Amino acid sequence: MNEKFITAGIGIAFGIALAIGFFIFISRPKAPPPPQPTPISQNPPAPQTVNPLTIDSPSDGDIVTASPLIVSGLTSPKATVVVTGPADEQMVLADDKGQFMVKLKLEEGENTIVAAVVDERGTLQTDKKQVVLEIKSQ
Amino acid sequence: MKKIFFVLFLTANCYLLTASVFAETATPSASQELLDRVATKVATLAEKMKKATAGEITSVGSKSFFIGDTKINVSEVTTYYKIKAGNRTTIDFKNLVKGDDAAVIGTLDSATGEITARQVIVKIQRLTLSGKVTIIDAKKNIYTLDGKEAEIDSTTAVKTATAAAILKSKYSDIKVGDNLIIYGYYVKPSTPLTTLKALIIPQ
Repeated sequence: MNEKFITAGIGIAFGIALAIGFFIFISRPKAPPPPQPTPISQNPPAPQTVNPLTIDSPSDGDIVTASPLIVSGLTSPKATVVVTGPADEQMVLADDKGQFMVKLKLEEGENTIVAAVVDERGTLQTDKKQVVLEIKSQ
Repeated sequence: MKKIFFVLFLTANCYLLTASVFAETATPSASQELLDRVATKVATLAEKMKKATAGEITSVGSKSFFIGDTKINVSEVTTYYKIKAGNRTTIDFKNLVKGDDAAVIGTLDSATGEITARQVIVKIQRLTLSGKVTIIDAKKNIYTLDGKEAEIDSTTAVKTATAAAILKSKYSDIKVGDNLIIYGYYVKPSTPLTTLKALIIPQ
């Protein structure tokens, strides 16, 4: 009888020890995963992008009744913008939002207006609009 | 049948009475206001129909001509001007010839795409080129901008956009690597652009 109690006690103690050991094993702090190697880029870093230059006003094909004409648009903040037509050329600094506005003298008839900026890579960015200055009837 | 006629008679009477009452209540100021509104609407529509186009005259007919694919109709109220070397002269329809560069201001017929001209202005169209100067042939005064050739010489008005202002320059100031905006025209399609004006934008 005593032998059975002793065997059962040993079994229970062994089970408890096994459970405690398992609990300690699963609750131990896990080691961080080994760092993955960072892929090395084959390309050089891309150059800084600049806002595209656009003339917002006038629109292509506009009929204009007076000269000078206000030319406005959008580019990179603080960019120097050159605006030119067949009869005039002007230079203006874009504001903090990249907006620019300039008065440009026009010729009677067809005028192609070109706005230009040189970006950080030294490339000329342009936008063009064609307008017609109406001749006032006499 | 009698009932139907009676109902029709009553309806007709009601309509006539109502119409006459409305006609009597329209005051002169209200009529004027209506006329003004109609006139404004017509002016707005006319403004929307205003259309300009420019390009080379490709053919001339008896009462019309073409700029590219666009048919330009003329009328007795169409006015014609020619601008040469900054001087404007009045011309006639008969003076228009194939190959002229013309700008047209008129009214667009949205159904046909044709324009009825109010004003025709003939002058040499200034074409533009822009880009970086890659080659300079100093002997022939030919400057290549991104693959396109332009002839720039002492007759070309050259200016430079500096940090402070736009200053007069000489064509010999143009260097390889400079950015240029030029205005000119083609004497023949295969020849370099004859440059009237060049603006240097240094890097």
